[in-house]
Amino acid sequence: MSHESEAWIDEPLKALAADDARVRVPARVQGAVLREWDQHRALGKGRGARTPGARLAWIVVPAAAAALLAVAGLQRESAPLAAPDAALAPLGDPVYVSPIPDSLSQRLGAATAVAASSVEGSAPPPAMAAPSPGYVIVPEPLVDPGGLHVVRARMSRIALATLGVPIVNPDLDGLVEVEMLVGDDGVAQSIRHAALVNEPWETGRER
Amino acid sequence: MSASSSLHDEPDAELVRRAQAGEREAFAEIYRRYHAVVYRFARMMSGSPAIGEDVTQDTFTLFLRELHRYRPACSRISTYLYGVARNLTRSALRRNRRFVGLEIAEDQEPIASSNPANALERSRERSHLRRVIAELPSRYREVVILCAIHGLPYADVAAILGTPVGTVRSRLSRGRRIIAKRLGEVEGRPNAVPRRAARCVV
Repeated sequence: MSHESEAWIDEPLKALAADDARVRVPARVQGAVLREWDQHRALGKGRGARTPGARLAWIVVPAAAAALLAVAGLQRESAPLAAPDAALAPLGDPVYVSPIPDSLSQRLGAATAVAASSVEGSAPPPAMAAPSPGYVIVPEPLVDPGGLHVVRARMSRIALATLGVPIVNPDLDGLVEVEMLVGDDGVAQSIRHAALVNEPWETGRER
Repeated sequence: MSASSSLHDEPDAELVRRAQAGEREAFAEIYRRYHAVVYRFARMMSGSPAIGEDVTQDTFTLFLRELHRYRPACSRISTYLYGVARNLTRSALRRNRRFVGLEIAEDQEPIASSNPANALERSRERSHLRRVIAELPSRYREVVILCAIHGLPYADVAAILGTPVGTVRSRLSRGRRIIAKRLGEVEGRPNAVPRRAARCVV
C-alpha cells in the first residue's frame, strides 16, 4: 500500500486517526434528526414501500383522467358550431365587483397614467381609461395580494440560525445582512440571508 | 431503554426493516451506529465542525425520507451514508467556498500529560497534518480520510466513491505522496504552510 519512502507518515496518520476517533458529535444534531423523524411520521410520509395496490392506483388514475379528457375533447369537436353572436352572449358566471383598497387604487391610477403617457396619441384601453372610482370589475373576487415590502436588516449569526436559516458557523461573531418580506401589518413573512457584514454597524453602507 | 438495548445487537438489515415499519427506536439505533463516522468524515473533509454537523443532520434527514426506497441488499448502510455525506459535503464546500479554510478543525481536547511540551508538540503536528490533508484535492483527500483515517477496506471505499478499486489505490498512493512531500518540506518549520493556503479545493 505504501512506498517505503512514505512509510514514515503512517505513524502520524495513525495518531491523527486515534485523535479523530475521540471526536464527539454534538447532541443537538441527534435531537434535530429525531425531530425530523417525528415530523416526517406526523405528516404520514414514509410509511413503507408502496403496496402493489398503490402502484396500480398511480397508473390507473392518470390513465382514467387522460381518457376522460380525450372523450371530452371528442365531444367538443363533434358539437355543432355556435352562432357568432352566441360567443358574445353573457356568461353564466357571475361577475364580482369588489372594492379596491386605497393603496391599490392609487397604484392603479398611477399605472393608468403611465400607460396613457407611454402610448402617445392613442387612447388607453377602456378598462384602464375609465375605472369607476373605487371599483374595478374583475371575473373573480379581487384578492389583494397584500403589500409586501422587502426590508433589509442586520442581525447576529446565531439569531439568524435560530430562525432556521442555514448558515455556516452560527457561533461565529459578526453580523449578517438579511432581507425580510414584511406585510402591511408589519409582520415579517419570510427571511433570507443576503450577505455577510464586514464593516461595523455604525459605518455600514447606506441601505 | 429496554427497546434500545434489544436493538443493540440487531443487524442493520433488521433495523432498516423495523424503521421502515415506523419504529422510531430502530431509526435512532441506526443513527447511533453511524452518526460518528458520518460527522468525522464531513468534518475532516470540510475542515469545519459546523459543516460536519450540517452534513450529518442532512445525511440522516435524507436517509429517513428515502427510507422506504432503501434496500439493504443493494448496499450497506455505511456505504449509503458515506456516499450521501460525501455528496453533501462537496455541495456545502462549493456553496461556501469562500468560508472554507478560515476554520480548520483544531484539536479540542485539553493537553493533559506528564510532559506538556511533548504533548503540545504532538498536538501541533496533528493540527499541521490536518491542514495538509485539508489542502489535498478532494479526490485524494476523501480517499486518504476513508482509507487511512477511517480504516475502510479498498473495496468499501470503491463502493462509496463509485470508482474501481485500482483507482482508489492509485489515489491513495498519490495522496500519501503529497502528504509526505508537504510534511517533509516543512520539517523543522511548523508554520511554513500559510493558513490562507489551507483552502479546500472541491
